[in-house]
Amino acid sequence: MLESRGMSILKSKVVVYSLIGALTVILGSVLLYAQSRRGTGNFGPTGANPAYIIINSPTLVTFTSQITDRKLKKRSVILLSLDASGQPAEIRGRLKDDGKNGDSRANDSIYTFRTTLTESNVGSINFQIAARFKPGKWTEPEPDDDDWDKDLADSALSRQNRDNPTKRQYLLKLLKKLTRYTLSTPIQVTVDPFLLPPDPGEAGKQTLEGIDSDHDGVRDDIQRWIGINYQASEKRREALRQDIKSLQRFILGANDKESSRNNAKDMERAWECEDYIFGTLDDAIMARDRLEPQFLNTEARSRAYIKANSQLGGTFSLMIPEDQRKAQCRFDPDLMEN
Amino acid sequence: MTPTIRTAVLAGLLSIFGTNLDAQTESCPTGTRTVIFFSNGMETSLRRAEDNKKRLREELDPLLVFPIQKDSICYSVAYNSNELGWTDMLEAYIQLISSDTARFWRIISRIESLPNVLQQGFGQIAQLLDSLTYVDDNDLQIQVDRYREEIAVNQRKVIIVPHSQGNFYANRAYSLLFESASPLPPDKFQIVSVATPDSLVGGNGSYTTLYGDFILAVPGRLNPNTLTDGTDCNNNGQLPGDNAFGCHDFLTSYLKGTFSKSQILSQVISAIPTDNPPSLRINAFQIIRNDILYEFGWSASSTGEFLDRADTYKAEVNVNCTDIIFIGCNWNFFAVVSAPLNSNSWGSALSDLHFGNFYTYCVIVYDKAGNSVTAPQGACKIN
Repeated sequence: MLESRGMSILKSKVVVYSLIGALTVILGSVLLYAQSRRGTGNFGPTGANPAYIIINSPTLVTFTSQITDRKLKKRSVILLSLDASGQPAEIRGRLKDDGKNGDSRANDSIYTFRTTLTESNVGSINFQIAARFKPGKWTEPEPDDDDWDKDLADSALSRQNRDNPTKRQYLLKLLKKLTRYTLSTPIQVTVDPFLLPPDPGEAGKQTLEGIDSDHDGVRDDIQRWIGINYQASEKRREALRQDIKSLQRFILGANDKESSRNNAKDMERAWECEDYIFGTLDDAIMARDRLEPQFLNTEARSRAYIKANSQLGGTFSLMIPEDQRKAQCRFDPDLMEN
Repeated sequence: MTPTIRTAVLAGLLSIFGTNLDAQTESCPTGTRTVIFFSNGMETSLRRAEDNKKRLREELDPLLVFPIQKDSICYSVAYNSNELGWTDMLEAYIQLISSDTARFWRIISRIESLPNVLQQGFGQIAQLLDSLTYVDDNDLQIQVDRYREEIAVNQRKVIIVPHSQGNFYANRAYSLLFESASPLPPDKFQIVSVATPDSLVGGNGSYTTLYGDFILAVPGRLNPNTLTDGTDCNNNGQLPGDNAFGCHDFLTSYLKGTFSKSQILSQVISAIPTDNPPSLRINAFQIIRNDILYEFGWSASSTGEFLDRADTYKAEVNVNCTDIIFIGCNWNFFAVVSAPLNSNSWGSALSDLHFGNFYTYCVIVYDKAGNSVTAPQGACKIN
């Protein structure tokens, strides 16, 4: 009796394990099939122009992506905006290669979408191009689930309606379609507080002088740093710009003792101006402590700075009375509101 | 606005708001009686040296009271720089940390702590720099000439506050100035040493070195003598502590520490000469008439035209208030007398008609800078 009951339990276990095994095989096959149906492709140069916009200023931005991959489903190229975690959050529109609406030439494999961006926060917003590519061995009729024009025509996709629960749900359903899509690398659009030169990135670190595209005497990366970190105070920005201009001359003239000493006097005047503009010595020192490392961000610049300082041995500082600090500013702070 | 007009406007603005040449000189103004020089250490840029000087001044200013006149003190940086030691630090950083040197400068500014991997390397660099290898003789001679001019020609006292390797310069300057065939008056030069790697302070001046300072890695240096309260130093006795590099900084450590700050400031203040101050006489007295009428009188006179006003106070003498102290006394402000502008001698007597009561009367006299020229409790007369 006991033996018979034991056999029965054993048989049940065998059945259960067999079922689990079978289900695993089926699930694996389904996943492989889905994978094969997804299809992948390649994106060429992809970007936004302009890649910099100004806060609260509606700006027409053109997104383009060159896609020469012949497996591309041409009506499937869309622009997504990403949320803070980098996940698709919104479908902004469909990129076309029809020579219209900002697309420079029809059928040149450069897909274009033009839209007006208005952002209320300084920082960056990220986008991605999504496109569907036919699987390698595509033989079946293609399901017609890529009619984005129809989807996008629905007002549910407009940004104004995205908080509506019903329409939000519809949007999520559309986003779900993207599981079969290939995504480009993210495209960043930077939102600046006011007009600033573009970030030169690594290119800005290749030379001692760096890149100063607007020729204002301040390296673009530093101009951006000052602009973003001191966006609320024009006076402070101007004081720091005066500092940086003299610092730039200081490192560029590092090999000449006389130049170094003359430039040092200019720096001292700039620091006095900063002391006046920032109001307290603590704040002025903190600003200089933060700015200087941004400026001395390469080995060449650091060496030049050390060299220039070494040219100052045996010098004494200027004696500038406190009531003359304001006069050291090479701008009129009284003409500035903040 | 056309470019021509814009250029003209800009030129005009620059002429108005540009540099004021009269105010920019390396010489101290007339009337200066003491020059305080900050002499920086190895990895200190001119910018950091200037900030150190400014902070020293900011800390000293409120403590300078009569008979010291703030306006008679001038501050300057006596800058020195040794490219080799500094470059060695940069190279050690690049080799061991990163080629992105922004962080190196954050470490130098003490915004970031020195990574452990660099502690030993930086310490070794400091150890290799002694007075002979660090000091540039030409730069030293320029400094000595300046000190000599201030003392011998301008009749000023020179106080040097050297930090770290700046001590090498200060000590050798002392030797050149005072151990020569025609030495200067020794009371005209004083060193208030901070974080010294040297084995002495020229002229037997005072020094302040925190326990656990980075400089303690240097053999032969003076022993630490200051507790680390209020700093980020990790007290490690006679040796550098965990945060030794941060601990070494003049601005963020020495001028922040409870003991180190007050020690440095008091040493500087006591080095400031007070000889030949403007003559000042303040008297408090009482007048008795007919054995019953009490009058509190006071007079103040000076030759320096610096007095501004006087406040008078009284307190009933009781068991807690038998001495000239404020605490515990019920002080009553009872009159204000302001001196006429430009007066250099004035006095007054106020009647306070109290019959037979026992009061303490005090007068506090202020200079034009708002500082008391009397003792904190004033010049008093106990009834």
